[in-house]
Amino acid sequence: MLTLPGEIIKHSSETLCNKEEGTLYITNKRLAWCKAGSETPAAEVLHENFSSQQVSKAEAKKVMLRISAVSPGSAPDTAPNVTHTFTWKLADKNVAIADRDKYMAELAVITPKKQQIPGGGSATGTGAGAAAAAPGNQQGAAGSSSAASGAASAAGSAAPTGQSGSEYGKVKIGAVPASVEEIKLRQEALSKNSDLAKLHKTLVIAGLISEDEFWSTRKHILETQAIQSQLRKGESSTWLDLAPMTQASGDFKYTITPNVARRIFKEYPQVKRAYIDNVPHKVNEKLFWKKFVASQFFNRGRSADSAKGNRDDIFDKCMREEDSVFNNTARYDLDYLTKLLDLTRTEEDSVETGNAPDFTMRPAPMDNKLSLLRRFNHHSELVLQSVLNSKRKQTDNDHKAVDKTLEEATHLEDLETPHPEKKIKLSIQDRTRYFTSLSKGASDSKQSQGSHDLDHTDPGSTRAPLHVSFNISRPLDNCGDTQKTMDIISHSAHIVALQKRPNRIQELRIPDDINLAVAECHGAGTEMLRHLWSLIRLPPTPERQKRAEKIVAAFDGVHARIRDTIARANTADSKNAKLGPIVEKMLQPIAHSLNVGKSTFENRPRAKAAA
Amino acid sequence: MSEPLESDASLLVVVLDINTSAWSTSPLPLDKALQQIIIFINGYLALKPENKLVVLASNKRECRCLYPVDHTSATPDQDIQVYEQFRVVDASILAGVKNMIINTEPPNANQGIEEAQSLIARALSKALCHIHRVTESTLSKIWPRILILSAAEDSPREYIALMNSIFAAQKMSVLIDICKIIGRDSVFLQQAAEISGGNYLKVDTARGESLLQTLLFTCLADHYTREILYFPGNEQIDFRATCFCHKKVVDIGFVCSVCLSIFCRPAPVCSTCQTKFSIKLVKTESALSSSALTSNGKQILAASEMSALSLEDEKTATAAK
Repeated sequence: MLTLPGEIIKHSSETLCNKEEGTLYITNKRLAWCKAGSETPAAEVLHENFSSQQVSKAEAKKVMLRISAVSPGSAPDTAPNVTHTFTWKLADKNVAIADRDKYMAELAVITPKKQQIPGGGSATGTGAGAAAAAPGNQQGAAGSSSAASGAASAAGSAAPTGQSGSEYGKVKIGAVPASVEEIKLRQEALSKNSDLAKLHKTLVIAGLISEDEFWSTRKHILETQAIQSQLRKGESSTWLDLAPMTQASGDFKYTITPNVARRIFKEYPQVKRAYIDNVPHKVNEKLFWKKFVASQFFNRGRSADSAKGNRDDIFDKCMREEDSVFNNTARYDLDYLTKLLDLTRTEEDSVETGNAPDFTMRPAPMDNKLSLLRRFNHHSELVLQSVLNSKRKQTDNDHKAVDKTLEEATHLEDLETPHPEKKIKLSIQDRTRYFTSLSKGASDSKQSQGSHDLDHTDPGSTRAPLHVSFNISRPLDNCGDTQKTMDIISHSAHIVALQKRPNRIQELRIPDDINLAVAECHGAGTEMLRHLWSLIRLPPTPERQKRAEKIVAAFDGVHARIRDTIARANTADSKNAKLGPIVEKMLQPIAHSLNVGKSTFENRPRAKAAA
Repeated sequence: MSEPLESDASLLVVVLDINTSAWSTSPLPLDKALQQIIIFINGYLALKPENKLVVLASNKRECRCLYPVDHTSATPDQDIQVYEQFRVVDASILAGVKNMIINTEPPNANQGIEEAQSLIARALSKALCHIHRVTESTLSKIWPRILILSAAEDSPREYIALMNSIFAAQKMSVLIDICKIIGRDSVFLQQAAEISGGNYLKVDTARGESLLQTLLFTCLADHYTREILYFPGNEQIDFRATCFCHKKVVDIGFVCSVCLSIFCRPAPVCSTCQTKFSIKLVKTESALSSSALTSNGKQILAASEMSALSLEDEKTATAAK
């Protein structure tokens, strides 16, 4: 290969790229691959454009290395959009792996710090759920054959998530200074929660509160984030639908990853048996899948006319097995019936037919739909089994356990001799305490007792006024000050009416930017106040004192902002003439709270010094 | 439950509280008050010819139905020019009240606080039974409500019965209006008004407020009109409990899980039911976290109506960790 001036070739190997033979070189300036017999590289990646590498797993059939890079000349920090895959063709796999690892080591050195996708990160469906997306999402990277190559299809974030999920388990949140994992957690939390991100922006990035303080009261968010990222998703329970991709040449292409293969095996156990029997000695794996896709078995449900696929001895056997399984209505094991089934549960279904065999439950005569329906039902059964506790089935199979459960179920407690329970008698001292505590101002009742005693000392004088005879035809002479009563009542009703009316804040027509500024002042003020009050409540230490002083000093910043907002409101061009006073009123509570906080804090040390 | 129509009739049950010891301390004498109440009743009867009325009177001994009476008493003043229906009602009310007052025994000196308590729960139950009977027997839809003119204090021993009647009224969709003429606010009756959807009014006759004015303004409206009007009063009713040991109002306290008595501070033994608590389960006062529940443990009670943390509030939600 022609080298650039100053370039030193570190390693070279015979590899395949795009199914063509050639030589891969790694130098101190770039990674290059030349076709056999050519002098100039067909593919090259300069070190500065290189972004990440991926390798196939140790036990994979092919030894491969994939490089992804940004296209030359593009700005840094763009997403990588160029990939090359190189395959080693050596007979001895270990030599090939050793060779490849040399390249890996070199490249690891120059991998940019931001994207450390770890080596061996070709997630071959180990539960990371990355490849749970339909296989159609596979990167149509040229040269990656469909079978067992295990190239991760999902975006690169899937791999780090799977890896870093285990890191978070040991993160101690709240350590100062924040650890790397905690910073990652913070970023994740911010990206998931837009309100939090907005608050963060206004408070921390504007410099009002430090990052650590912002997160010190929000530890629970970080904790939940850490726990959530550790959860592993199970396998997808969707109906597996292998959709082909149409290539330019008109061929159909099915991509089958190990994950897809696993799901096919789960769905159709007969295919799994066929696979085990035939691969690799009778039929090569690639051929097996080719036959599978081409077979009538596979295509049976996919299109309306079932005769589309080819006949094939392996899969015809699968088809026959499946039909025999599904047609077999006597699917229950008669030896181990659940004897505790409640037969009355389905009484309503068979009122007309009674105990006669149910002739209404016959499958429909349309045959092609029938198999599809049966497969759907089988799939649903599998999903439910994985969700529900499958342990129950196991215990039922054991003879002794069955007998035991039967015996327990037929045990009638009423026939036993009753055992008196050991009880403690409840003795309540003074029941009136429940009621007297309910009357408000119960302490006042003691005073009224005194006044009542006074009244009863002279019963004679209180008796006299209680005579009730009056002439009902005479009009009422005086019934109190009606005007005053009306004032009081209508004022009270007015207040109630105001409270019940809907919120009239839209009528004030406050411009949006002023609204935002007011909200920011409130947010900043309350956040700081929260920190301050929590510091005041705890026993004072010099460190807390310093922090509290810092917060109080920062109040001035908020006050300045408040004044600024009011000034803006005053000069704003708005239809509402009284905008300034209104905004001042809106900001008045927060200003007042800040003052209260400050004065409380300042009075405290003086009290301590005095004491 | 159908909506009230303007043409529907109402049934009003007036519960008069004629507790003699309470009325004797009132700035508004009983006969003047009775005059105003009778005018109000006449006004109610005048609204619609189909309106029905029941009047009950209660004091500390008994509860009697004053109108409609079973026996026809002699009406001596036949020549007074009063609308006949009004005259019947007014005369029977007056006669009934007179009878009740004359028949009350003189108060005993050592009865103390119970003198000033009336049998409100009994009256309320009677009222509800009347209402039930009338609503079942009429063919057209009739909307019942109760007006309690209360003079006496709350009686703690009646609490259970009173609350049961209030909930029964709520179920029957009977509005209970309370008009407190003498004395302090009564918590039980406030709750009655709140739960059943009626109004609680306090008339301060010492300051010259007019009882008749208040009654006419607030209590005359029937079910249909009430949906259109705004009514005075109804400030926030304080449903908070008081602690058993000091009788102070508590927001957050400690509850014995055996007898459900409320305390403001943790104690090793419950003073009501003598249950011993295991101290290590009881956390300190500053920690507002929930403690474990066992049969011997305590649980933290967060009382209702704890107002939202305002900006000026000192307590923070995240005080302790």
